[in-house]
Amino acid sequence: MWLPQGRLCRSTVVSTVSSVLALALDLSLTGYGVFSMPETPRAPRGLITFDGGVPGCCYHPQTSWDSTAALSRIASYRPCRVDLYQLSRPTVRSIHDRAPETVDPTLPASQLDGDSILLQRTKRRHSKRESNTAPTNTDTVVSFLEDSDRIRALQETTRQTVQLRARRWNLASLLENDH
Amino acid sequence: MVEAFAVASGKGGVGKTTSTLALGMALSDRYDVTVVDADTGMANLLFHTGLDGVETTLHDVLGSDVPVSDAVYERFGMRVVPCGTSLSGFRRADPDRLRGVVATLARDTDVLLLDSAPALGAKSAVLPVVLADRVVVVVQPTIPSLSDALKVQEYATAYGTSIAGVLFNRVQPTDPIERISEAASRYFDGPIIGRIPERPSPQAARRAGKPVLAHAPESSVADAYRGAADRLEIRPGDETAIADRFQSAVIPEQP
Repeated sequence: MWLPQGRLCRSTVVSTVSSVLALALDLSLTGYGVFSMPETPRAPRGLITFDGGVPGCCYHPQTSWDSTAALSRIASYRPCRVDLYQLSRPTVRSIHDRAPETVDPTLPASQLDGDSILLQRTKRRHSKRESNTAPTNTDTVVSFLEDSDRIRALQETTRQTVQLRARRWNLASLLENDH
Repeated sequence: MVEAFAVASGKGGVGKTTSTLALGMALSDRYDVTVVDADTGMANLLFHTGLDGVETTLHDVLGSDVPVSDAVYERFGMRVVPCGTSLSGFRRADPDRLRGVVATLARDTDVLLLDSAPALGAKSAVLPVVLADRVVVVVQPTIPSLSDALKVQEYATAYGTSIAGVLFNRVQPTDPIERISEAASRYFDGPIIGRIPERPSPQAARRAGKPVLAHAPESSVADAYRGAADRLEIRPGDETAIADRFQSAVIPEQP
């Protein structure tokens, strides 16, 4: 996947990925983390984007945007090297708008960490951010909807993701046009 | 007779639970309504209905052999099935069991509303859309919300679940909602059933542990929700057939 180059703000090696979720909240990170195995530098790198410390998307080259599967891959990196990059909030939100899938903000904490404190922190931060989100420039909303090429691309990407996930989740037989 | 709706948004924070309960209460004047919190990861319904102290929730039903009837509570003229908030409950909950729960509840109600999880990255979030007859899409007039709402529609369409309606929520007075609605209606397959204004009443209702139609029945928000419910044409199906469909939906366990 393509991401704009962010500004590196932290580079560390951790024993478990879940500690990075707490770090992202502490830093109120808006940007992304790149997760790799320090002992196997050629292994594929995973990625989690953050908006104010709250997870937005999870990606791994071997699982694409399937958040649960991507998180499982990333969690298997022990120890794990993580590089945290900052991006502007509009840039991150633009990434989330265009991504085929965003993650339930609490899923990484639920899946990777047994600590309900982290889960509650994530929920609180998410709720606060949602209620504080400034209204979007409404002319931009209309422009977005009038950009039929952009909408068609979003729909097409989503269709592909739906098919991929239907197979992964054993739901393919329930698809309308499954043959 | 029963029709099952998934109430879905894709994006969190758009007022999906508020909308689910408001539509449910409005419809309960004419129908037997059951509302299920299908958001097993970020349960909300219990806080909106004053049920945060209850012992048995959907987590217990999805995670053990507790019968669904133990997690059904009569509130505000509806049957409400809340989900718990504990991490251990979330981990024990098997989302595939939801189909059995839906099948059981469908036998004894007219309208079943499944309050779905936001985000579409987990099977548990998509299952309500797969299982329901139709989807009510709740959307804020913002780009992130509209993007995710369009993704919800793609999921629904792929599984043969049609769009019952699109509900614009948290509409600011400055939003050019006419233009946005007109532009959005070109992409959504269902009608736009309502535009709910951004007002303090839903937040106050949540703090009081009540649906907005119970807490502020005379408010403009409540009026707008009642209008949306009126536009939601219910198409009841045979409850036995629907229950059988849910129960027999082939969803093998993941390896």
